[in-house]
Amino acid sequence: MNHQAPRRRSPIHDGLACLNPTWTTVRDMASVLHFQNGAAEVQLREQLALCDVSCFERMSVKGPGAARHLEDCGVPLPATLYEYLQSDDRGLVVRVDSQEFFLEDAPESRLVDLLKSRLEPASPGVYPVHRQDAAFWLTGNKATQVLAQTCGLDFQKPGPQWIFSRVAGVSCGLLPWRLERTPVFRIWTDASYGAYLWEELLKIVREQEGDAVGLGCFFPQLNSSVSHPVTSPE
Amino acid sequence: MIDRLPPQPEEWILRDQPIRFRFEGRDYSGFAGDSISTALWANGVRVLGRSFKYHRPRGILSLADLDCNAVAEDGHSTNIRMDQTPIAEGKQLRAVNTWGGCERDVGQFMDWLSPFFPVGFYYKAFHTPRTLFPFYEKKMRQMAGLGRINPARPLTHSPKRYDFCDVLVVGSGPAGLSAAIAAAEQGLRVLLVEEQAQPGGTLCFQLSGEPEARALRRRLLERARSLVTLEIRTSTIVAGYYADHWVALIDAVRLTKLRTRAVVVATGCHEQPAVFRNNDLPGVMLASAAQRLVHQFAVRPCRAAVVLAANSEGYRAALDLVEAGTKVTLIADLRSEGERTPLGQKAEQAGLPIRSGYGVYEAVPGRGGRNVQAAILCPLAGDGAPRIRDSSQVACDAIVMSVGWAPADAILRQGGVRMAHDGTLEQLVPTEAPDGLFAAGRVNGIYALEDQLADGRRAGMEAAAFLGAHAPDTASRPQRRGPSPNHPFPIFSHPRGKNFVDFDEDLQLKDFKHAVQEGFDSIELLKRYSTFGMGPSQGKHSNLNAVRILARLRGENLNSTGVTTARPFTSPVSLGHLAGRIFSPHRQTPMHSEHQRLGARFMHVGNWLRPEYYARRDFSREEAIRTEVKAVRERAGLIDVGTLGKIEINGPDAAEFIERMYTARFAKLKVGATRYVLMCDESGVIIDDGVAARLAPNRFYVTTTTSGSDSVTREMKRWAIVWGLQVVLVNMTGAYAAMNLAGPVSRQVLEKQTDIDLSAGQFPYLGVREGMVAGIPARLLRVGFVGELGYEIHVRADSGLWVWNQIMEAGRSYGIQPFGVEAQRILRLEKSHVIIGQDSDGLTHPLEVGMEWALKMDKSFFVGQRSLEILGKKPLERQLVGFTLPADFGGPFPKECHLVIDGGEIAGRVTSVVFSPTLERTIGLAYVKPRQRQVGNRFWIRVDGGALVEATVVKTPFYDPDSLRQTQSSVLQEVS
Repeated sequence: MNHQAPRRRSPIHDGLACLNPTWTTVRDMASVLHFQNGAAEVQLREQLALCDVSCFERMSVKGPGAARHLEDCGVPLPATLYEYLQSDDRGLVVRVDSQEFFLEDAPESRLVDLLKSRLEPASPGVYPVHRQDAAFWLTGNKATQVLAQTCGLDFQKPGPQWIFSRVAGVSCGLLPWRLERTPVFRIWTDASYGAYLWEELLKIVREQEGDAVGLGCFFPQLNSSVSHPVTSPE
Repeated sequence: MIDRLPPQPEEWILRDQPIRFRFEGRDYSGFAGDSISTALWANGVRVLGRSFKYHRPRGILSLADLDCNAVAEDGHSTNIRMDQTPIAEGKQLRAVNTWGGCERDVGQFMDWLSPFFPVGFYYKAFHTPRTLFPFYEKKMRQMAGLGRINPARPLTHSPKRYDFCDVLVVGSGPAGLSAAIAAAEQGLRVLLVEEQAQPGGTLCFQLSGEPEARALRRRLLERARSLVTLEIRTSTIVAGYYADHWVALIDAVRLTKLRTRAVVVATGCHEQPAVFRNNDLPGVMLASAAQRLVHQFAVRPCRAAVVLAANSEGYRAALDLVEAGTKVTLIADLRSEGERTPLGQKAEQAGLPIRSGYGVYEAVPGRGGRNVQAAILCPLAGDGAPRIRDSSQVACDAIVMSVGWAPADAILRQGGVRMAHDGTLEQLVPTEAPDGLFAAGRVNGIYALEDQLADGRRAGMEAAAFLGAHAPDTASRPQRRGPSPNHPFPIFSHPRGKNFVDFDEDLQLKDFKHAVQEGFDSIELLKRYSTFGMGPSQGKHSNLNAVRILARLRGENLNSTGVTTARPFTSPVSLGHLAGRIFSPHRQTPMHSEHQRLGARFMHVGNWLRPEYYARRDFSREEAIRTEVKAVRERAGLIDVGTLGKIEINGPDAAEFIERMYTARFAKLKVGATRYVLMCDESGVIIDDGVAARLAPNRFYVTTTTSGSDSVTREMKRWAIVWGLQVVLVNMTGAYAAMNLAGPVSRQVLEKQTDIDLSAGQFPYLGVREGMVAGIPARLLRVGFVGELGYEIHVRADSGLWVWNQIMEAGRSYGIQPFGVEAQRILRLEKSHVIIGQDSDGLTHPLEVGMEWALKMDKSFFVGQRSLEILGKKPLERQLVGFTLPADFGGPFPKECHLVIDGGEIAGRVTSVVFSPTLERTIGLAYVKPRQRQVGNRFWIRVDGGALVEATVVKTPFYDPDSLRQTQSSVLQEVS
């Protein structure tokens, strides 16, 4: 089977590649399916793990007409600032400003694709923003110990709200979240800081006896849908 | 372990875990739970260190971080506090600050010379001549000081962390435990911090006469551990208290930055030494130290002790010593009335000899001055002075002192609590406290055990009420009662001195007298002149006695004398803890790995990593850069410019907004066109530049300098709010990759990868187009920073590498080459394009750099316009000009920032200078006096070493003055 090399590339691609992972392709981006066997990564996921989810499609919609436009497109919107809503297929909508919404797809959701098609050409007062974040999931019961060393906020009792803060000296958006019973901290940062932040977080994660994991332990369907993991562009 | 006692109830050592270590070249053993000092003491070692200045032998004094008698180094770490640091298997230790070892320190000759080193000696002796001070300083640093730093020590990280709680309780004695339990019972998150290895405070060692103390400790701890919201953290020091309840916690591993909502300080008191001759000999120790040795570490403090007492605790300690099998030769009670509590009766019943109204006048040293041989006792007169004629000598190997306490109030005072002297209690006690800061227990002047428990509970409940977790409690503070445990002046003068007040700094009583005689008679001046309280102990054992001495010399009370200012840190904190894990964020473009593969040598530009140049086999750096320049001038080059700031400006007021932000005119800028933009601040100083592209009537795309993206975005957002314009700003810097394809064949290269019509007619110079490049949506700007036909290609970051590789592949047959920042600097300098931040500084305005053309002063407004109008009416003070050196120049090469000299005076400076491979001569930009700016004028540049190099002002640009290359089309053949 002849696969075309993916053209999108994670901002931390090299940091992943040096760990010799098994690759898959998600949304035209070479993404890590797993580094170790599935059971080991599921265990890590519960204790302490770091996962690159930069492959998810995401965008922002800004402007005075943003809320109206999204509602017209049938997107349910969070009522208050920094609140988020999640669709059944794990699509995410966050109100990050009074006139700005952040949207992110999971592998199986297509909300961002749909909106991109409806936003061209732009409606008056509605400004779509390309997002190219480096995005990570810091998961597990010891995740707060990593954040305690990198972020000056109290995550012992995190509220279900988006937070703007600095992690390891880098401006980030954070969302305390849960995947079933596993605590997950979703972290977004500027792509250009991605390699640095991944390296620093992974160093601390490993000090706390955690490790990097692939998407496979969060999205089992990726394991079955990709029979021939695609190699990276290199 | 000749002085190890049989197992003691609830001792801290683990006898089934022996540990071997070396000290001063000898092997010793101890048990897990021992500190270095206690393990050595158990092995009969009495000299644990040497003093700071006189190299006097020192042993255990406080065993509680109140002194720095015992300090060691292990080859990696230095200044290890032996009293506090647990022993570790195989550790090899030696005492710091010795010449030839701790036992036979040659430096002890300093003790004999001490009469020649009066207080302030350094200030007087080394003040003049000033030229010799560096020599003196070096010698003093060699002679004084603590451990040696090992620069070869392996790098270890002390990762900092953040932590949070509702109530921080400092100190885990009866008051602290009680306070923590009370607050946690209200559902609050409570952190209880204890500096010792185990919680319990005085309940761990002040036991005799309090049979319930151990049981009480167990009960309190059991309750505390049952509360899920209460965490106990031991071996942790509260090193500093800052505004808004920000507290620095130090443990063996790290600094924790704790944010709490309320603080209960139950730190207790520091036991204070008496001052008498030779009070620093090994064997002279605080009663609490002796009790800690017995109860916590099962170590016999001595064989025969004289107990110097002025309170009940002295008697308690004497009884503890007897229990531990130590002979108590005598209790010398400073109080004429003696001890009138059951403890006194108990001591009498135990047959202990007691002399009331007696003091220790002198400790008699044994052979070599390394131990105590006897105590000289004197009856005290009514004024407390010793009656020397009636002195007597009592044989002993230890003098155990219990003469009073000083509140451990550093945290309180750092928090703004004012301490006042209570004459009845003879102790400083807290008065008014700021919101959220509470004191409890002994630090509050409450000594009776049941009162400490009540006071702790009160403080815990008050903290809970302060946080709204509990209704305000009406429980009042327990009254201070009973006889004062503190003697007002346990200090005895001696004609031969060596009666130490500050053990850290070897300060004797006479030093204080002399300092006051010399006029340093305020407490802060006295501290600076004598250096008391400035050692590692931070005055924990010396401040109170220093204040007492000064008060007596000035004939006033302690409230009038005052105390010194308490500042962080309360205890020494290693620089490693402060440095912690260093976060140095840096940014990478999406093509970073490809640059690495191509051999890039990176440089920091702002917080970005950019290729400086691409190393080539058998090429020097300069040769590689020249090759890159040549490729751009003759064929095509590709540079990663993704570090440029990229800002989208949308909205109905976008044109108006950009008109106000930049100096150029935009109202009539056509869609599909770009314009060079210059940004000034309100004073007319240049702060940034770039290119603005109009993508739609209400949509602009602006680039900024590499280091300017964040600051320009902030400025824009600020002004958007100030002006109230309807614009939406988005900083897209990291979201877009960008590369500049430049060179005469760049059009041919790009044509292979894009559907955009690149013909000069359809895509002219300074145009902007959107289309597909290598199958990826792209934004193309036709600009010419390097002076050749060129296209800046902006694509989303995740596709940047893909597009880069496709263009490099397309250009391979044309001889395309990647080029770095250094080649770009040469290329742009050949075109005389200024770099903001390099050719400008924090005062440069556009008129100085010849950018009048970029200013549209007839616009209604732009930021900095009014200042530029004023500046325009004033004569220029400097001007940026282009210069060259002679073609055959071979002297020392000028560098950026070398000075322009005119008549021996500084006239300006060089901002850019390179050897141009295109022009084959040295070119540059420099600030000169306006009268020097004429073309053909010659000026001097002072280079390294002071030589003067002659330069000539020339017309700019140096290369392609009519800019034909970047505006015209070119057709070249592919190379084979």
